[in-house]
Amino acid sequence: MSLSPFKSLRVRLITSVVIIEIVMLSLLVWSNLAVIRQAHADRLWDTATGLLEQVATTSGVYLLEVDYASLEEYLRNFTHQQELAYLMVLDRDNQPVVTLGSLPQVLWPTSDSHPLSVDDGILDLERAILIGNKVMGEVHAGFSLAQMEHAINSARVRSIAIAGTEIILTILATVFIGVHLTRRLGRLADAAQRVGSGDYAVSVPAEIDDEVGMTAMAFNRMVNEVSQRTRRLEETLARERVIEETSIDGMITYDADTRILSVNPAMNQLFGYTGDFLLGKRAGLLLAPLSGPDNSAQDPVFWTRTTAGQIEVTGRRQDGSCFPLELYIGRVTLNGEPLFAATLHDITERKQAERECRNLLEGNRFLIHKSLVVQEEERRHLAQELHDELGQCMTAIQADAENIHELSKHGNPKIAGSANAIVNVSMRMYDVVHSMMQRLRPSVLDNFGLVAAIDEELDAWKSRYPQVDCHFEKHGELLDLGEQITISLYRVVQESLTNIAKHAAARRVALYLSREDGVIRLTVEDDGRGMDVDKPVRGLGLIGMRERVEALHGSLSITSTPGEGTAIDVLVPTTQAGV
Amino acid sequence: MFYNILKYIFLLSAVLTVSGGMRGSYAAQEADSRPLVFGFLPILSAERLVTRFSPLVDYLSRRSGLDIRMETAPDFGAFIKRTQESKRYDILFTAPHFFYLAEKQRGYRALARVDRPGMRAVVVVPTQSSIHSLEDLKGRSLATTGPLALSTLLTRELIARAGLDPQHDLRIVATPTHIAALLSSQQGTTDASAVMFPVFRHARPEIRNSMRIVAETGAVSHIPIGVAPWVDEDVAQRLQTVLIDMRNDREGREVLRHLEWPGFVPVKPDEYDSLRWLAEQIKVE
Repeated sequence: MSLSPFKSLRVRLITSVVIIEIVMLSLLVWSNLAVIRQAHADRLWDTATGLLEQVATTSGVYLLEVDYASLEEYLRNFTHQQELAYLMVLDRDNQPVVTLGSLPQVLWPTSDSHPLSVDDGILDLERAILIGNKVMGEVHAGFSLAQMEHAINSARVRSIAIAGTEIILTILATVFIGVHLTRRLGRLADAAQRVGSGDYAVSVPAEIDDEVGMTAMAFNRMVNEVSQRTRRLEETLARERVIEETSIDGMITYDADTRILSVNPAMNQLFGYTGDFLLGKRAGLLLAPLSGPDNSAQDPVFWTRTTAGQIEVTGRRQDGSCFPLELYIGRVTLNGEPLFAATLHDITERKQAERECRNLLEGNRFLIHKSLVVQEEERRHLAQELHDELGQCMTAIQADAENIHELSKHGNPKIAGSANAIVNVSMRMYDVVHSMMQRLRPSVLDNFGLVAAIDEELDAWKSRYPQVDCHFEKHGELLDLGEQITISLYRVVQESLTNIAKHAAARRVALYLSREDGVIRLTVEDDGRGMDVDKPVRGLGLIGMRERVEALHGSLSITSTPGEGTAIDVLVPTTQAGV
Repeated sequence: MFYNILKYIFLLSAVLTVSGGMRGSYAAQEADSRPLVFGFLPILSAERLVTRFSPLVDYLSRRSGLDIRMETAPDFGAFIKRTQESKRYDILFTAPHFFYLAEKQRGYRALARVDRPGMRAVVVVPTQSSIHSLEDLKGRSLATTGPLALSTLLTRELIARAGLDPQHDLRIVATPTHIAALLSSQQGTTDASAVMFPVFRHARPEIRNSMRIVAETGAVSHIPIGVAPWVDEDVAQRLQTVLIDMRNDREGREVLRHLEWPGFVPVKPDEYDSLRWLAEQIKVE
């Protein structure tokens, strides 16, 4: 790059120094001449006024004595004064009595106040001649300024000659120093230009350890640093470029006005655009008009919010088709202006998978529900069969055994003993069967409802674990809850008490059952050792409880802290269950 | 009719003649606006002469209503010459013997003189001097002012009467002023000094006390003030009146106190005729 002479540091340096030198020397010459002029003027003024004072002091005697010849002889002593142009003494009648030199054309000129105020080349002065305060006449004198001007002109010539010589020497010195100095600066400038064009291999020799040398060393360090940083930056950009170009997610950057500044290749693949079509377009073009949580995807505010996290939106391809997207928006500030970056991830497949999972889950739940229903039905049938068939048989056996026992009481003692054993065995069998019927399907549940069944279950549980303080509270209308809710909640209570007995080592158990605002709430609390709810459970009890509740569109939550007991909270809507 | 016309012409001429004559009496001085020149004998240096006598000149000018200008001459000879040979001085202040010449040869009229008994000279020597009489001056030096000075002439006459020849028996040294003559012997340059008595009397005490009077001359009438013959009589009369009445007003007394004079008195007719013998010794080159 060629440099204009007017921008050259060398030219400007030399020109500035020369101009400053000329101005300063001109001021110096002007100042010196003013001082010289003032000094000459003061000297002439002192000479003139001194001479005039002397004449005025001494001439009075001659005037009083009317001795003009002596006066003239006396005054001629002053004629050696070269600057004296004329000298005249007037008597008391203003008549000239002695005249020396060439008189001015105008008699008598006004007395001048100072040589510098003279405009006709003659300093005119006058004094009264006094003796004893008596005016004896006047003395007029004129002093030529020619000699003073000649001296000033000589001084001016000398000053200008000296100043001119100094200016020439200064120019030579400035050119020499300037060329020497700016040559090194020029090398720095060339090197800077090479760096600017990308050549980081440049190095400037320091030569001398002065300011320019230190600048050269700093420049070399700076170039080295810039080279390293540029290489690292290029590497980073290359990596990012690879990521962008190979990413399956779309990436865009846009400004505060949502104008798209850059896109990666995946964007065109996702949205069906080609080339640089998207550049300069608003980002809202990429989304369906009604997408976004607040249906404001076209609003720049939607695109410029800085909340982190993903947003699920609906993308719109060039052909108008829509697809689900996950949108990530980030913000940085460059040169004081905000810059936004968005990553658009196509979640069509994930959404499809989610739908399939959800359907599968629904099916599973339906099957579980059905299996539970079937199970409960089988249990109920089994209990009924046990009660109807086996119960009747056991009762008949027991009655026959008692008859045999009564008939053989006075007969063969062995028969009576066998009959009695049959009675005992049949009674034990009846208890076993009865217990099995209660576990399979407590009859109280069907006959008196959930509350009675829980009371009976709790009484039986307390008889087995008398050391545990049990407490049961109920509120609201709890009759006619429906079979599904009744048996499910009953099974939850059964399973909870079984778990407490097996794991909790609790001293107190409390059950709360309530119905309010269409929701049945069951809570089972204990003060046992608790459990880690985040730890996967291996047993099927809790899973079975949760499946039963969720089959009723309810929810089951477990709250527990190790050492502080456990609380199982079940909420079941009565409307979903048809209650 | 013709006579009447002649009569009017005659009357008009008469009126013009009378009025012209009345005006003519002042014409010499008033038509010529030239100020009156008051010539002073250079008995003192020019500066001291102005300091001493300018109050008198200003007083006379104010009181008489005349423009009076003070002048002097480089020396006695020049003053006498100007008095005798030109009409330079309208008013004259000069030594008595010079005035005699001016009066007799140029027609000056004395208006008044200083009211003092007379002027005399004294011969003084340092107190430790061996000179005790005029005879002791033989072979000695005597400092005087100029040869035309009154003190010189009076002393020469006194020495002659003492039997000495002033020309040969002693050496007379001329000095510029009276005080210079006095200091000459006081400082040992000459053996004796001849000065006017007022000069000795008003000398500084350390000078006066270091000297003693050896002889005194006879007294002559004091300094007169006269006017030139071309000065109008009325003007002369006004000047004389102012001089004589000077002691009668406060301002005049201030001037007289400055001059250390008691006042002025009229001059008697032929009062200065007794100085003829002195005047005859004056030889002006």
